[in-house]
Amino acid sequence: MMKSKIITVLACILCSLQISYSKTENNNTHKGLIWSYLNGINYDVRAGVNIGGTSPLPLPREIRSINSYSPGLAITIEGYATKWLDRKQKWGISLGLRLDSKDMKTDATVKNYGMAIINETGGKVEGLWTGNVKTKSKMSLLSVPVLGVYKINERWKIYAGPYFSYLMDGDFNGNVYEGHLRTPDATGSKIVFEGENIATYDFSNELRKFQWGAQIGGEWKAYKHLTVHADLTWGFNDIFNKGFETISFSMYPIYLNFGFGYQF
Amino acid sequence: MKKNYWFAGFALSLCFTSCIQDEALNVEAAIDGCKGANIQLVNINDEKKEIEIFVPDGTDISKQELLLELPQGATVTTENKQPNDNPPIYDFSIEKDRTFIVTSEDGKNKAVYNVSIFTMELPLLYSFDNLSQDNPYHVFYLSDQTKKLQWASGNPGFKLTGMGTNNTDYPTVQSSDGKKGYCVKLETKDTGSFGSVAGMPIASGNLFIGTFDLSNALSKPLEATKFGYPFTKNPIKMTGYYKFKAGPQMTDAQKKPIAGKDIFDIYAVMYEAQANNFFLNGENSLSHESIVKLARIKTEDAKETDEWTYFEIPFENQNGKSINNEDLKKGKYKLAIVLSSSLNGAFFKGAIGSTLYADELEVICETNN
Repeated sequence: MMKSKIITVLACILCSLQISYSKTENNNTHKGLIWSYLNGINYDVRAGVNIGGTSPLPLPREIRSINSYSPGLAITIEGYATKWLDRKQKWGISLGLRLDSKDMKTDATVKNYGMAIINETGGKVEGLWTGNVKTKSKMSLLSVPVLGVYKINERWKIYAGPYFSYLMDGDFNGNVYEGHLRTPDATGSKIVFEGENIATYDFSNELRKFQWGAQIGGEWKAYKHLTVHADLTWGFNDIFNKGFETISFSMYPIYLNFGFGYQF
Repeated sequence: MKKNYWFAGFALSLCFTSCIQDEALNVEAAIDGCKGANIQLVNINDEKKEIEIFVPDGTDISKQELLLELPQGATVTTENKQPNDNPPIYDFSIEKDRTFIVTSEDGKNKAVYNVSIFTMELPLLYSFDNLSQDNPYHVFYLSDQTKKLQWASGNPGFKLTGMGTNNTDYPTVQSSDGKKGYCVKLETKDTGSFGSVAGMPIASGNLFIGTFDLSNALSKPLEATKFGYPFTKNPIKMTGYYKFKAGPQMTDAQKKPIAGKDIFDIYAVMYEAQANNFFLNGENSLSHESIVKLARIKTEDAKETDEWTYFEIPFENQNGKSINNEDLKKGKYKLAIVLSSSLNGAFFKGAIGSTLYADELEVICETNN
């Protein structure tokens, strides 16, 4: 499902690139790119990895310790068109399209953490969890960054601006183990979990479809066409839908992106 | 590249660990358990916030020890302090129903419990006509006359599966088509995805004299069913009526289909309990060396039937033991009656849909006691 979506989007990007290529090939020159260059427009394609986490900010008091964290291999592919605004080509605006993937796995110890365990009939057991929680968060997004660009010199440029994401597919699930559940609220029954006892939870359906945030980063031109970059993307809205109150705090995706690119 | 990657991971995790805030005070307010001298049985109803404590006849209830198990940091106070109150000693001599208030460590949550103390003997006839609670699941009174003491069942555990959308979805329910008046209906149920993950794919309908320890329902399911209540008579036989229909497919503890047909179980077990806090449980209730007498329906007699079928099962001595009249008077024996819609339901083996109806159970004892 998710793979096919990604493949479709990739195909679209390739097609559009193909079109611009075929145009130039037809004319037997790089006329298109030259025209773009003359009109102060650059193109970039970049690939990178996202490393970070989806986390409440600051960490709420419910979270007592992070026992393990692994970022997962989250690959991004993106393309940018940059229009330079001045003759010297110092200032510009970039519009991009990014296939974004934001993954992480954590194991945390929590105290009185809001939790709901939902079964296939829709029945649910809610309460406060004290103990260990494993969380797997995986989001596939189609993001559109709109960035202001400043070129420091021929090698360096920096940029910042908002990005807007559409969640194509996402998982947010995990399990609880070694601890106790107080259900349905702070004055309810205590259920002890020991050893093999686990209960799984899945909030995937509660993930918000539209997310936005800020992106800030820098790019360094290593060779004539090759660039390397480091970007920080910081989500500004909760990854969960508004009505979702089981997790009592908002969670924001904060990821660093490292990678390289080709500048046409 | 690779260096960057690891560095970033390191930096982020460093950031996360350094941002851990001071621990908040605990918000939990509840009574999770109760022990104390002379206590024979404690019934904690988390839904209604009622605690019933049963002590033997002649106990000095003006100085009753109650060792309450509270969440970390929580404190307990009583309304209307009594003259002999000196926690954990409480005076029930003037007010037999008392109000206990548990306050969470952070002071924001309070749970108000009604705690009452009883001295009571087990009744001998069980008609299942009166419920002490019908929401979210049914709870039966043991005694239809005094409306005190309750039958225990696994219903509180089934609630955790989220499979019970209304009270008749539970494995243990009251049914109107009894032999006389109402009866109890026990049905082996699917526990859904939550039950499967927890390694308990089915829940047999069960009903027993004793308590169900919900807090250990997942971690130690067999030990969570505590059987027995002091009994001061010498039982001869148990009689009653049943109807039974086996579910279509037997499954094992992994919910894999296995051959065979499900049958139900009804038994009464009398055992020695030198200490009040000694109970047989789901694991040892038929095998423990303390068992003195056992009345159990024979598997060949446990037939499928649509009609109310009378049964009469004798109590037989076990482990070469017999009832000692001195100990009997001192309340050193406990009796448990256990009913289950699947014989091996305690081990999560059975057929979903197996249904046992039972009514008018009676324990007949020697009259000279």
